[in-house]
Amino acid sequence: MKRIKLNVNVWRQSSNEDVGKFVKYTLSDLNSHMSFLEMLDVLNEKLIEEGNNPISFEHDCREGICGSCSMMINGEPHGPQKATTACQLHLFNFRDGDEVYVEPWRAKPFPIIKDLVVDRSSFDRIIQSGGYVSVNTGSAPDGNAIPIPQKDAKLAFDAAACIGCGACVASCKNASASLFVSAKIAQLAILPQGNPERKSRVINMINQMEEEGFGHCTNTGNCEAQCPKEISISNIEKMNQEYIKANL
Amino acid sequence: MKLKSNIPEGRLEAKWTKYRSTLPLVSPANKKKLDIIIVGTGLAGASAAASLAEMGYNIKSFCFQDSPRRAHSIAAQGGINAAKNYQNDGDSIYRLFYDTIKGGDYRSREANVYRLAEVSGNIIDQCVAQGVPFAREYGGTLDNRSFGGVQVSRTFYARGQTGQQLLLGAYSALSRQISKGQVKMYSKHEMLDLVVVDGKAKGIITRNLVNGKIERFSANAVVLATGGYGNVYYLSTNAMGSNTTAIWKAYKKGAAIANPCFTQIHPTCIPVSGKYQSKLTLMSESLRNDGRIWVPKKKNDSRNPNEIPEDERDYYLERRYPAFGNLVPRDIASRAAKERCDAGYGIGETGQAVYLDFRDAIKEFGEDTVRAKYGNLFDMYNKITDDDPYKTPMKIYPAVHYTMGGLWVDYNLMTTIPGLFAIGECNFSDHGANRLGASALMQGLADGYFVLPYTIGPYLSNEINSEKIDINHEAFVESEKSVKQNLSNFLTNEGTSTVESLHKKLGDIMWNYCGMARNKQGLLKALEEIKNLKKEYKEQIIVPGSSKELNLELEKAWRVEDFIGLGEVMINDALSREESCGGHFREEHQSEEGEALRNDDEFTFVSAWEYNGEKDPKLHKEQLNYENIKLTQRSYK
Amino acid sequence: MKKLSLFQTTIGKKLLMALTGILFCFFLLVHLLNNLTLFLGPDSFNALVSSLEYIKPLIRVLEVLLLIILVTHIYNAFFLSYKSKSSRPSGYSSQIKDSSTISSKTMLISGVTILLFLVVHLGTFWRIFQSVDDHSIYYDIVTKNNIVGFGNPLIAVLYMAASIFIGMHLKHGFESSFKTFGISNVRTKNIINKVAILFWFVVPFGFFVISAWFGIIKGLL
Repeated sequence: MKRIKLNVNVWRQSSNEDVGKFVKYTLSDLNSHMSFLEMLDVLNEKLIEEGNNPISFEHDCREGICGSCSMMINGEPHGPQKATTACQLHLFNFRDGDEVYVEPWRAKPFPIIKDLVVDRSSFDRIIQSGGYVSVNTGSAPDGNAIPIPQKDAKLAFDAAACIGCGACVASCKNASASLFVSAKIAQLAILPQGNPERKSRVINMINQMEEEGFGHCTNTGNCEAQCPKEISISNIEKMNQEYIKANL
Repeated sequence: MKLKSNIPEGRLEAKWTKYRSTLPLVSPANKKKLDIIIVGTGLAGASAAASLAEMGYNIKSFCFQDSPRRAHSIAAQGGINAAKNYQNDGDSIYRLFYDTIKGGDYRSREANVYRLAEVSGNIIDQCVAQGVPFAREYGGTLDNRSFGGVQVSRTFYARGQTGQQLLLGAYSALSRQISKGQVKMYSKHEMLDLVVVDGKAKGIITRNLVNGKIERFSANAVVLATGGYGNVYYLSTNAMGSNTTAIWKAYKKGAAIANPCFTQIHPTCIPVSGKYQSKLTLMSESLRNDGRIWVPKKKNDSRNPNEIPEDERDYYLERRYPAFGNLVPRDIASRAAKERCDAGYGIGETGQAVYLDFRDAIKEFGEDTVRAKYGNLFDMYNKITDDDPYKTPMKIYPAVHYTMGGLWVDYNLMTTIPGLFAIGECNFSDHGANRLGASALMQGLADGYFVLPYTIGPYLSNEINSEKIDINHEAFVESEKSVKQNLSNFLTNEGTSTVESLHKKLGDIMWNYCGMARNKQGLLKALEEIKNLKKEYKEQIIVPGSSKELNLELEKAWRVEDFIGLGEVMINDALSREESCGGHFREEHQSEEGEALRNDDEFTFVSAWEYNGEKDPKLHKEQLNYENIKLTQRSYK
Repeated sequence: MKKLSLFQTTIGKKLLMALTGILFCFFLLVHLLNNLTLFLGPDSFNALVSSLEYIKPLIRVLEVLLLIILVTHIYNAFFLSYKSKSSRPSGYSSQIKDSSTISSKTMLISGVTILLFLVVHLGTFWRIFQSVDDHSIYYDIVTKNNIVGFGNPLIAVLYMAASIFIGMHLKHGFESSFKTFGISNVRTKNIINKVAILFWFVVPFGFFVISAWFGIIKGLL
């Protein structure tokens, strides 16, 4: 265990209408085993005790699965450690005296609510447009009725592991949601259960993605590099293929 | 208060089938006219909302997260049980039923648990149909793993992210109904009060967490699916936002809370590393399939674990419980760890940890096999601790994980307030005094997909003729007024203690006196301390900001206030239950070897606590009748 | 909500860009093969260019097609660039780490540069070739030190630079097209990568060598 000092520059913005700015906070004597969010907790306690407003940021499960946490840390979504969400980023990834910049996701379909908190309901609307299999409760056949090759189950899982945090959008120079959308499309295109609605699903979901105002994909791969769950960009190729097929 | 469990007559095996077939139905035309509020979008809430919407009811669904997909069910790792007997190892509905009752240390209702085991198979079918990517065998059939407390392989899983995949399945079903307009979704809305009109639950008051607006919603029935209250201990494996507010408000309006002291301490979590710690991270119980738990035989042994020879290691679970070894139920594994650490054999900087060692598994099966099975868990451990579990044993320690207690419900999952239902972890119904691994997901989905949609029928079939309650009704106005008053009290209080610091204080009280081991003296002390804390909280807290904006501190403030109230009831419950059972271990009641001693003669009942104003809560008892299972002292030796 | 047709979506527009880009790549390949006859001497080159006179109507049709391809490519490029700007109206305030390749990050810059070059190229060689009646001077126009020919080192350097930009543009563009078509997968990726080398490296390198040889190296010998 080490003790370190960090200069943390946090984006403060009181509301969507407000013009935000970086505010610098110096935190010394931080335990290197502390998580990044715990560091923000410590800072917030200090701010409240001094009569200031604490920093608002999204977080919930703090074990890297709920997808709540969402912040750019030194120019990378969720910070410098690969395949890690901000809540599982620990301070041993930083050096004593580091300058750290924290700002919210930036994209038109992710309007800022306050400080580091953005509105990601556009993702929900995309799933609502078709990211499901239309099966009513009670109408399912036996789980083993349709064998699924282990390889396909694995591929589907890899795509389904997306936590919907929005890091792909945040890191994409075009603010494209392609990785998020394609992960769901690919999951359900690989599995036989998704087959009946394959065409309408991809058309509807892409339609919604466009409506929300996300940018286009230029296959540059930064989303894949920054995804905390390492969702593969090959899902986007799969989505394109599905989309073209559905339109033919 | 009358506790009527409404368990149907008849043979255990036939109860549910017969009951389901004779329930009053609501005609499709009438369903359209009925509104149901469902609070919470975890496995239970999302599956119930989707299923009820499919049936034609109008659903209003609420969650405090920014998306229903982020409910804490998402964090469940290991798997979901179902009595499919796909492995041909002798599993059956009866065996799952029996294991669950036994695992729960004989403190749950036979009829409820049997029903749970009965519908468990349907859950798997439903989830597969939704496109949940369960693990498969080479031949394409579903794979299973085994879990603590049982000797068959009945756990279905999707790597170490089963909860996530099941929740995304339920979320997708919910999303489908939202797109159809059958569910109106209110994200970032937290329920701050229950509205009761003429003794029936008729609506809720919520706060829009983004803009602070207090809103009223009315309905013909209210369903709570708000999860567990483990955060009463401050440190737990629960999500930061998981809270007791909804069930606490229901309690204050007349819903009984049952067995609140039954909390599950999970044996395999990453130990606490410092004061700043905000939550504890669970390492899936499935690790106990191949990992061996041990401590050094010598006290305060500070050697590197790899340098401690085999004969100087104490594999205490294998020693004490040869039949089940490392796979004993959670409560037993947790207590055994505490026992070793308290006796001075704990390891690490704090002495509050034991080793979970994969050396032998790696030797036997090879690193690649171990990686394929547990790779993501090992990576997670490495990320958090900076240690490599392939090379050095993991350090683990028990942590609060699940709360078996919750709102008292009858066989229909209805609370003591007519029209108020509770499903999933927030009710008390199926796990008795201890929950088996991979059964929480099963119960949440059973309640939501296959039980509540039927059992809500009898109540709603009577609601068709009842008058629609207007949100301008006096009860709504009153309720809103008190909510607003409470919030403004927080904001105008001129204290000096942050909510967080007092929450930690609460956590200390609960963990020290009402945690893994409890005794009368400690509980009485805790009762006193918590009363002081209540006072301190009222006078000393400081909450910045306003009520008209996103205000995370204000959210914490009302949640912690309710936790303090609940903590008091938990302590009362622990105090009154003069026996050791499941997660509730009273030091006065143990055998010479330190095993828990139940007292079936006097305590084979459910404790249901009724709110009693400023006075101590009132205890009501629901006797548990075992007609099919003979109560025996649990033995995993 | 109104349903968008294929080419109204960004994926459809990318598809058009990919398609037109690939077609243009093939044009470049044919163009290069033509130009390589320069190394066979004036007679061969002049004969080849003259022979094109016989199929002039076809050439005109192809030219119109090329123009359509080009305009489609450019229009969509600008449209999508504008769209991605509007998808992030207020940018980041800290330095953003982007691990993608330089080639992919500079598509717009390389594209616009190539477009400017194209204007010069068409305004000189192409325009002059249209108005020449004497079929024996094509070679000289290209290679001699006149205002437009490679004999002029400045022109040679301009063309060499342009080939580099084309190479950069195609380094990302060619492979990216197949991703947009959705036919790049584990199996085909290897083949595509190899074919891609022909287009992003061999072809631009060919153009580079021609301008370098006739503009600089030959003069030094």
